Order: sequence, then structure tokens, then C-alpha cells
Amino acid sequence: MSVLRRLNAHVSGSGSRAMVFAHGYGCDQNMWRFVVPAFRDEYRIVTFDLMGAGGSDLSAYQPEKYASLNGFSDDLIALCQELDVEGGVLVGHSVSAMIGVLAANREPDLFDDLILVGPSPRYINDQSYLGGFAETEIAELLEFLDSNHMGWAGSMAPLIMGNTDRPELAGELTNSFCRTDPAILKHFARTTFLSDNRADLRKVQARCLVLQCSEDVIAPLAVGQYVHDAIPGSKLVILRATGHCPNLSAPDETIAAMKAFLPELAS
Amino acid sequence: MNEQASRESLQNGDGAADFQDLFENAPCGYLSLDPEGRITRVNRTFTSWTGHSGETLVGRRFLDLLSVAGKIFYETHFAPMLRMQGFFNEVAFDLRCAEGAVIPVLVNAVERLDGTGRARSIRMTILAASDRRKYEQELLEARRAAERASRELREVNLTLEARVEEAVQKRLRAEEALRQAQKMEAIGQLTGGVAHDFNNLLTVILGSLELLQRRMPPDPILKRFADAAEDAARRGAQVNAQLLAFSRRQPLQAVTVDAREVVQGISGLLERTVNGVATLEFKLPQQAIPIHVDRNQLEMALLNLVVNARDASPGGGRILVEGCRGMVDGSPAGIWISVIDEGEGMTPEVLERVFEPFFTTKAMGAGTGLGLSMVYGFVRQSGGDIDIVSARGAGTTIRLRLPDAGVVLPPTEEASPLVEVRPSDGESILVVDDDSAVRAIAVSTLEQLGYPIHQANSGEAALRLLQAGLKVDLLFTDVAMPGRLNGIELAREARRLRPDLRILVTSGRLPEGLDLDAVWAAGGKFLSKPFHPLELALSVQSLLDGENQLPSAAAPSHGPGTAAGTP
Ligand SMILES: Nc1ncnc2c1ncn2[C@@H]1O[C@H](COP(=O)(O)OP(=O)(O)OP(=O)(O)O)[C@@H](O)[C@H]1O
Ligand SMILES: [Mg+2]
Repeated sequence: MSVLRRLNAHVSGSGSRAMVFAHGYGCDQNMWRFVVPAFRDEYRIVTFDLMGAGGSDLSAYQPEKYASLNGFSDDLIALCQELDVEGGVLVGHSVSAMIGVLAANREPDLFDDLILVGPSPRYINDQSYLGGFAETEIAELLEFLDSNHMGWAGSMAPLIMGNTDRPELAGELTNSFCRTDPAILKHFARTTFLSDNRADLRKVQARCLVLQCSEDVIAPLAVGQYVHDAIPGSKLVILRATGHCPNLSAPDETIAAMKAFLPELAS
Repeated sequence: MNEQASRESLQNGDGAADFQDLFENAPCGYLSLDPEGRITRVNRTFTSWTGHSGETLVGRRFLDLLSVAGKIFYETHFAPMLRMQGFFNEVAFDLRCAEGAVIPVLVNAVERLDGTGRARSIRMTILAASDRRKYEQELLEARRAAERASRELREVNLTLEARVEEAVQKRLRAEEALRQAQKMEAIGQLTGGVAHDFNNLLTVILGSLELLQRRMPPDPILKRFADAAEDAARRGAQVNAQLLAFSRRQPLQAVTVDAREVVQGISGLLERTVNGVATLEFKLPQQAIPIHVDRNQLEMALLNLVVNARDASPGGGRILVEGCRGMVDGSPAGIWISVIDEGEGMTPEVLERVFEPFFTTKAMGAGTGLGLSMVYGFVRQSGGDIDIVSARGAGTTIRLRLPDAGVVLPPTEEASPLVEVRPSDGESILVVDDDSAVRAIAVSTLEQLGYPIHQANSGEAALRLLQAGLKVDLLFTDVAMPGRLNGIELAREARRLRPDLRILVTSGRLPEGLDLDAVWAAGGKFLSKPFHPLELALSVQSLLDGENQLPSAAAPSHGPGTAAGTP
């Protein structure tokens, strides 16, 4: 199966320069729906689902490969190479901001510009580094997911007893977006929240924009500041928007900040 | 608004107050939030559940009430989904209360949009979910149990076929073993009957030949014929002895011996039998292995086994004769005597039939098919077992388990020297046999030695003679006779009348239910049929010479040999 099918990739837009959108933990490419239209005319838009999320081919999920973010960045590289992306824009949200950094460092020709929305190179505090979470808190999260809580898993996937043969039912009755397999959700959480990619930030060569929300429990201000400081020549924009998903809660502000950063659009 | 006031306004039918009451006291929590997730309004049900007052809640973010896991879920799933689909239902959260307690709730959320499609506010309905959460846990547990059960069921199913197959095979094997045992039993009965009749015939033939030869003119041609006839009759007697052994009706004279000594005693004969075709080896333990068996029969059995092993090893190889005591491979205790060869082995079809009399794979004249039949009968009659492990091309192991005498053996006795046959000193003998031909042979043999003879053709007739005061020194009687008294009962009665009477019992085959201990108990000796006239003469003589007759009540553990002196 081609990487396009495996990652449920969609290409649209009329521009020639590629703009690749990578979604974060907990959702799928749907979360770009308010932002993408603003760039359709200028760019070749690529959206896709991370392996294990949305419409990706779950049968290709290999726990060993995806135990580290490198597994996901391998996929991103393969996808971009398949689509002949060169000198493109990578828009990465949350954990995909770091996946994008890893891919850009390994294959510098792929992207000239990186737009990192709510990035965090490490979620757990480490001495003077403030990631936002104590180690015990992340342990608590993972334990919570391990206990297979139905409210979460059930809201995400057709899990409840006996429904596995009629998955469409669960979707219709509760929530239709961002469904995923609970086991994969757990595994992905572990990979995400235990990651530490601080050392990779310094190696970034592409132009880089860090978009930081003002009240984000997942990636607090101090983390955005850290990312900005670590990536040479990067630009930091602090949005008025609160929460972790400005692309959903404040699409206009997000679009404006992106346009201001991109050389061909900046006026 | 306080309780009192709201009740009053309700009574007044105040519509606004009605709605107010509905909002404040509904059986669920109501929350209004701004698009950023900050609480703008909260009902009384919610404040009473959580213990947070309305004033402290308004202005705070909803996610501040959640645990870390809840916060992360809220930001990564709840908020995005609510934004994308406009609602998000039945989400399980744990809310932190004022007192530090936690209550499980289910949250339904819906976005209210303004005219431009932007979120204006968020409405949340919050349901207490303690029961439901418990129920969910039970469901999860039940599902895990069901998964476990179905996994186990799958495993059971996977192995079911194999286990049914195994059970059927076991059943078939048991039925086959039973069928085999019944067949052997039937053949045994038949063989025993035929052999008994043949014994009488052979006794007559052998005896007649002997008498004939004495009276014959010394003509070398006649002598050759007579010798050939005698030779054939003896071979017939041997075959008959094997048949009797198989039918387990032969008279066994079990004695306690060291099995090592038995094996060593015939090792020379075995060597000559193998005669360089194969290499014979012996493996015997340091300690004595006391065994309770008929020594002659054991020797015969060993000979048969070694001959078979030799015949199966035309290309040479080793033949191991092994003896040991106790448990072997967890088998029952006993004395184990094995003959192991590296020869051709047997096919399963041959293996199944080896114990049958006359079953042989050897060429006409090369084997009678009685060797293993004899071994089988002897071992079973001795209270032991036999098992064979054999496969085509992989050699054969035959193991006999025989009763452990369980004693410490006295040093081996010197065998008594043979006694010369001497003419009668005038002692008289009463000969009792229902078969007149056998009786005639015995009578003429003994008459030739000068003994005065009396005869009877049944136990009753003999007893009548004795009761009538007939004076005899020795009673020679067959065991199996029709009528009220068999030979052993006659012997017992006779000794009651005449305690000094010597008794010699003869039989080719023991009637079922009788054993020779009764003969020894009656103070007698035993002579097995068919007997040679010389053997009869020696037995009679040793009895009459014997100083110490056993008291009639004594029951010695083993009897004297046919031609040896009384112990
Ligand atoms: N050690 C052995 N190896 C292979 N086959 C054997 C062995 N012992 C017995 N058999 C098989 O069992 C058959 C029956 O043996 P059994 O001793 O009863 O009779 P026999 O040897 O054929 O004749 P005989 O009466 O002379 O002993 C043999 O013909 C032979 O096929
Ligand atoms: Mg044989």
C-alpha cells in the first residue's frame, strides 16, 4: 500500500509550493479545516493523518516503530518524497511540530519554512526546564489511559461491549471525528508525553515560526519561549487565543500570523 | 434567591421563577462557558455537588476542575471535537470538589454560535455518574472475563479433536487387550485339555516302549526302530510340556533361589545355544536376587528367549541377559529378568500374536511356535508379568517380572547325589489311576522291580481297600480322577488312616483350584506326567528309603525334586 493511502493523505490547492499540515495528538487532519482554505490559492496543500489516527491504515501500526517520534517523522519524509515536496512549508501542531523538526533536520531539502503551533520538545519538567508537567502527573495520565477508561476510549472509538462488529453505530451515536483505537491512543500518548527532543531544536536550519497560545496547559508560555530560544533565528508569536488549538479556537488570528511570516505572502 | 423565596414565587405561578427553579434545582448540573472555556454561570445542583460556591466558580476555566489526565484530554480531544462538530457527548470526567473529594460525572457539551458562525458560548450538562462508572467497571471486568473464557474455549476446541482421538485410541487399545486376553484364555483351556489327554497317551507309549525294549530279542534293527519311537515320544512329551506350561496347568514347584544362580547355572548351555552367531552378555547385580519360581521352568523360559534372540540375529550382534531387583522405570516391584537383542525385531502384527501357541514365522520344522507360549504361561502362572518392546529393525527387549521372594537366601545346598535303583525289599504299593493304560505301565514297571502291587481305578475304590485293612507301604495315585475323591483328597484320607504311609502323587496337569501345597501338606511327593519308568522307580525308592516322613499337618514351603531325596 502506498504511503499516501496508508496515511490517508489528501492533496488540494492550486499553488506550486507545497504546504504540509501535520495534526497533533488526539485528533486527525480535520483539525485544519478552518485554516486550510486560507492557503488553497497560493499553495499545493497536503493534509494527512498520523499513523494510528483518523483514516490511517491501523493494520500498519507497529508499536516498535512508533515508540519514538522518529517513526512518525520517517512517515512524514516518505510522504513528502512521494509527493516530490521540495522547499515547502511544514505546519505542525503540538506533537507534530516536533515530528516536523525531526523530518526537516534529517531531510533539509524538504522544507524551507517551519510553522510550529504549540510545540513542546519535552512535557516533563527537568531541573530548570519547565515542561509543564511533573513526572508523576504524566505517570498518572498513562495509568489513567491504561485503566481503559470507557468515557475516554468510548468517546473516541467503538469500544463498548459487543459493538466491535458494528463500529459505525458508535460513531453515529456519539462523536464522528477523531476516532481511534484505544490501544493505539494509549501507546501514542506514551510516545508523545515521554519524548524529549530538546537537543534537536538547535539543529534546525529552516526559517521557523513558533505560534504560542497565551493559556495552554499542554505547552505553556515558558515552553514556547524555550523553543524560540533554542531554534536559531526563529520567530515567536504569542497569540491572544487560549487553549492548545488556536487553529480551531482562533483560526483568523492563526492565519494572520502565518501569512505575516511567509515571505511570499508578507506585505 | 433562597429556598423560601423560590417556593413562594412558584406558588404565585411566576413563570420566570419557574424557569429559575428548573435551572437551579434540575437533577443535573448546568454550566455556561465562554468560548475560551471559562465558566460564566452555574446552577445550584452543580455547586452543591462540588461544594464550590458559584462565586468561586465563575471566571475559572472548566478544566481547572479536572485532574491532569482530564486536563490533557480536555485540551487534546474535548475542546477540538466540540469546535469541529459543535457538540461532544457523554464524556467521562472526574471533577475535583472543594473538600478534595472527586466525583465521576458525564459531560454533554454543545456550542452556541453567533450570527457569523463563531462560538458565542458553551453549554454543559453534567450528570452524576457514580453508579454508571461502577457499572462500567463491572462491564469491563465482565468483558475481560468473557475474553478470557473465549480464549480458553478456543484452546479447548483446538485440543478437543486430539483429545477425542486419544480417548478413542485408548479405548480401542483396552478393548484389544481384553480381546487378546480372552483369546489367550480360550486357547489355554483348549490346549490344556488336549495336552492332558496326550500326557496319558505318551505315558503309555513311553512305558510300553521301555517294557518292549527289555523283552525284545537283541536285534540291532529292532532296537533302532524302538529307539526312534522312544525319541519321538520324548519330543512329543516336550511339546506337550510346553503346551501345559502355556495353559498354566502344569504342576509348578516353586522354590526360593537366587536368580543370579539360575542364570549362571545355565549360562554354559546358553553359550552353546548361541554358538558364536551372536555375543552373549550377562548383567547381574552384586547382591542376591531371591526369586520364588519353578527353577526348571525358569531355565526353560530363558533358553526359549535366548534361542529366539539368536534366531532373530542372523547377522550377529549382542544378546544381553539381565537380572535386577525392584523398580524398573516405575514398574511394579519384583525380580526383573530381561533378554535384549539387537536383531531384526518384530512388526506390530507379529508382536500381537507371539504368545499364541503354534504361532511362528519360522520355516516349517524350524520352530514349533511354542517357545513364547511356554514363557507366557509359566510367568503368568508364577504370578508374574511379561512385556515385549520390539520394532522392525530395532531389536527386541523381553522382560519377565517374577515374584520377589523377599528373603535373605541361605547358602546354596549341594544337590543330593542320584540314588541307584535297587530291587524291592518287599514293600508293597497301591497304584491308583482311572486311566487303565497308564495304570498298567506303572504296575508293570514296579512289578519288574519286585514290588507287590495292588490296583484301584478311583479314589473311592482305593480308600475302600485301605479301610478294609489292605497293608501297603506306598500309595501311588493320579490327581485328576472322576468321582468323589481326587488324588490329593485320597492322599489326605489315606494318611489319616495310616500315618506312616508314603505317598507319591502324579499328574500331567493340575485341575483348576488345586495346588501342590496340598500334596506337600499331605506329606507326599510329586511326579509329573509323562514320566519315564526310571523316574517312577527312583521316586518310589527315595520315598521308601526316606527316614523322616513329614507329619501330615506340616506344610513346607517347597517340595522335593522328582528324583532327589526328601529334604
Ligand atoms: N527376539 C525375537 N526377535 C524377533 N522375533 C521374535 C523374537 N522372539 C520371538 N519372535 C517372533 O515370535 C515368533 C514366536 O516365537 P516363539 O518362540 O513362540 O516360537 P518360535 O521361536 O517360532 O518357535 P519355537 O517353538 O521353536 O520357539 C517367532 O517365530 C518370531 O517371529
Ligand atoms: Mg522360540
